[in-house]
Amino acid sequence: MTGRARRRIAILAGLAPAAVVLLALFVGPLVVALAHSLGHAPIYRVTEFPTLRYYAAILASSRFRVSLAYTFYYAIVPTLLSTIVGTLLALAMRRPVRGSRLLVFFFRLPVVVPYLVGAGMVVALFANGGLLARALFALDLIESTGDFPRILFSSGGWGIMLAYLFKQIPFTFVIVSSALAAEDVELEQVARTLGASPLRALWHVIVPRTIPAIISASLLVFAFNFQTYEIPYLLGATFPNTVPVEALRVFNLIDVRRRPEAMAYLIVITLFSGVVMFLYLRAYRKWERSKGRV
Amino acid sequence: MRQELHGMPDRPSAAARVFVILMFAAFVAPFVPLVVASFSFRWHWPDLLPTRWLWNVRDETPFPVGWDYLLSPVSRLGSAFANTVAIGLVVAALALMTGVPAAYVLARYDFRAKGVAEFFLLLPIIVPQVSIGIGMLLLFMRVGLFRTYPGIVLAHLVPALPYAIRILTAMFQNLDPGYEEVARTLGADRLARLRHVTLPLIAAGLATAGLFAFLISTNIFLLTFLISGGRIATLPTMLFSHIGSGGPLDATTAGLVLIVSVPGLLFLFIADRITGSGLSLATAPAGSRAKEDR
Amino acid sequence: MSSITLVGITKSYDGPAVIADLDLHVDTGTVFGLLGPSGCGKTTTLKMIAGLLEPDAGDIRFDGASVLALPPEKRRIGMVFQQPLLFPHLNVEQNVGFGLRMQGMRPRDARPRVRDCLAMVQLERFAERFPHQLSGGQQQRVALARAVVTDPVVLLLDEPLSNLDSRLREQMRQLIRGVQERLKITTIFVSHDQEEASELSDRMAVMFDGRLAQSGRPYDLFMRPESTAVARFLGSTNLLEGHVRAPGLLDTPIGPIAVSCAHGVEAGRTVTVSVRWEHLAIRPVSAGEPPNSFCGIVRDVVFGPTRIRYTVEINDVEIIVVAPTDLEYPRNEPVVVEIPARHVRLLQEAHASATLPG
Repeated sequence: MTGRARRRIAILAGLAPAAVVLLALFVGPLVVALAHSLGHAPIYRVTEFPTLRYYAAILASSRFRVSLAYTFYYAIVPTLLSTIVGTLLALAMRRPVRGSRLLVFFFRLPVVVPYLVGAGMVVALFANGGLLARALFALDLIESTGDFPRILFSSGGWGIMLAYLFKQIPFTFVIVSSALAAEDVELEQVARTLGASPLRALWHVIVPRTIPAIISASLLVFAFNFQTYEIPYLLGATFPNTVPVEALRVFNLIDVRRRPEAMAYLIVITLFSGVVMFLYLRAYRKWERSKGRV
Repeated sequence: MRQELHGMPDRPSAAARVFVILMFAAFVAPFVPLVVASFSFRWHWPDLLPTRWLWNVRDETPFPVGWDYLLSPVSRLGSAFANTVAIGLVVAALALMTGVPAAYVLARYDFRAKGVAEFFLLLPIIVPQVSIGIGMLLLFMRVGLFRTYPGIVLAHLVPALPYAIRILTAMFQNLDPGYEEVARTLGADRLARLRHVTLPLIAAGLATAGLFAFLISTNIFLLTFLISGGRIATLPTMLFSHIGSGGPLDATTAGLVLIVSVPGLLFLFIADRITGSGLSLATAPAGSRAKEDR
Repeated sequence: MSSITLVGITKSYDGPAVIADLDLHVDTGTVFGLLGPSGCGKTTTLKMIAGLLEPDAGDIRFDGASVLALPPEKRRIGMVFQQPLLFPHLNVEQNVGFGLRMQGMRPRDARPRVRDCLAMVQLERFAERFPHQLSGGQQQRVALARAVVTDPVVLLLDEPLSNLDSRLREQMRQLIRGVQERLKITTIFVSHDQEEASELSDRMAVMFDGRLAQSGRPYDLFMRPESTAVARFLGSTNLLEGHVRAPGLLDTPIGPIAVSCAHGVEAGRTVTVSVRWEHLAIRPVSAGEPPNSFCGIVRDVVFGPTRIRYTVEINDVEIIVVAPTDLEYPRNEPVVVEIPARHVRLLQEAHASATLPG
């Protein structure tokens, strides 16, 4: 029995430091946000705990609903695009050819820089006075900066999504590539000897085995897009914009008594993000099970 | 690599090549106009190139501009750079110190709450950073960590530590426990095993995990922005304020975007040296390998 | 060098016992082979002797003194695992010298001994290489040198040949034999390969489900298996079920056989007998058959370098005969198979769980 006790102590001692750090720094802030949103914020003289007033208020406000819709829109479109394009890129670069090491090195560069680098590039290229507008002018396609389509600071959000894609297509590429690299070439060769064309061997043998990687890449991309602040703040419209931007705006209002409302925004978006990811993972598991792979 | 031994007859198709080249242009070419813009002084609409360059005007302007400004003490770029690197190093060290024991336990022991622990480690990646950030801000105000370096370091640990633990767990899973058993039969006590066997074998994994924690820390914007209260600048927060205030092809912003990309570039070089593989950026393998013990 | 004694060893991992009340004794300086199918507990036994696993009950003694309280690093053992497990960050010389370094010896002082051990495994030219630059067989030889460099009192080998191809196995087998004979080190090794076990060991035991089924000299085990399970596991033998008709006479599916073994068994009982392949004689059909001869048809012929293996169908039962190469019988040829009465061995009934393909 002492062996078992020693084992238990070893497990607890090993996990303790990380658990303490994450409990204090991750669970703690969430509890604070939750308490505030439920009306327990003595520092702002808000002491109506427990109340769902703030939740009711934001759920009733059209401003919140619009923001939520845009949050989903800005999150899902780049997730779809980066998953498809990044996977295709990984498949296209599956075979090492001359120079592919260098190519891969550069493709990884956007992954390791802050998202703000992408934002800076999008501004330089796609602003109304940016390089693309100048190129179109030089080609006599537009006559003034006003003719250039509004890509930045508009609710269409193309600037936001371009900045996401700048980092997320390469990110998906890296994740899927490494899953492909782990695959045995001989598996594919077996498929070829069994009469599969190169494309069919790829589709039936290699792609199914990289799906877990594709799923996890797209989950990470979605999770990021759903919650980010700086990109929509810099490249989006003042309104409508995403829930995180809206939450920080409310939080920074002069009237600090509205801060619990900001906290309600945060809790709601946390729940939404969790639910979406849960449903996504569940659908994926179900699909795997229907194939009999789990 | 295996692929080279069993050369497959099919090379990438023409379409695949064109696609790869297009993608390469999309992700690497944008760095070129940034380099041009960073040396520009006057670049009016609709010119395709600047009409006056930094070196044309050095003697005419009363104060430094462009790169001269960025590299002068006035810009405070130096301190932001130093802050970024120093915070990143401390975050990496702390992530390793708390992450290694946790990862060891997760890789080597089976216990009932393991699934819970693993899910808990995923949460900081899934839960929106704004939600954590604002709660943390309020918490830190109370305990005197707001606007301090330790506060920023602790904030950065929340996203960095789970990633580090994932990489370290995979590393311990790939480390055959047999090496330690052999060392025991050869008379190595606990300390000797750690020093002569385990540490040398996991050195590369430790370095990779530390490097990742460093990279994540250097890329964080929002948590720094909130916890620093504007008092401590890092490269991302500095870039944020410049993008927010500059025009599309502003020389200072362009230069800053390039500078902010430097830690990532360093990461790529060092990571490649550690692993020697072209795809080292790939995160830890998602599925854990089956243990071979017993 | 020590003798090794296991007394009443029991071990379980969160469930039924893997090893149950195991007694074992290995004399000083001899080689003991522990043979059994995978999962029978032989590696667990070895790891308990090494101290890498703790028994739940029982005692392990080297030269009569209990070593249970000693951790593996204090037991003065050398162990070679299934995988070579050479430390990838150390070169061959550093790997072999690891044990000496743990004793506090400086690499320079350790060098002569390390070189000596490397010479023993014929790898002195590879001292500077790193593990990944060696073949699998070379790696396993380095592992052997590494295990014996510290003059351990006990050498433990966990299927050291299982990952080598047949030619390398032969070479490695001779090397292990050579090293053991030179150092006179008490050795226990585990294996699932009958041939490997019989060629290496002075004594051996067959283990099923954590229990020793039979132990003795290799010759005794092969020639006088006591149970169906042991006979089946060791192989190279024909098993026949039959009824005792009278003392010394069995009714079997191939016909009545006169035997010299079943005299004590009462008539009417069902028994299993074993006849080794090479003890059967095969000859052309002719008049005047000797007793215990059966007519059959050659169904399969497999040529080996020194003998031929025939599968002969007798009364719908396939009997295997190994014969010298001086005569050859083609497929589908009628032949006569003679079963010498003195070579038929009566087996105890196997306990139910220990059934294995022959």
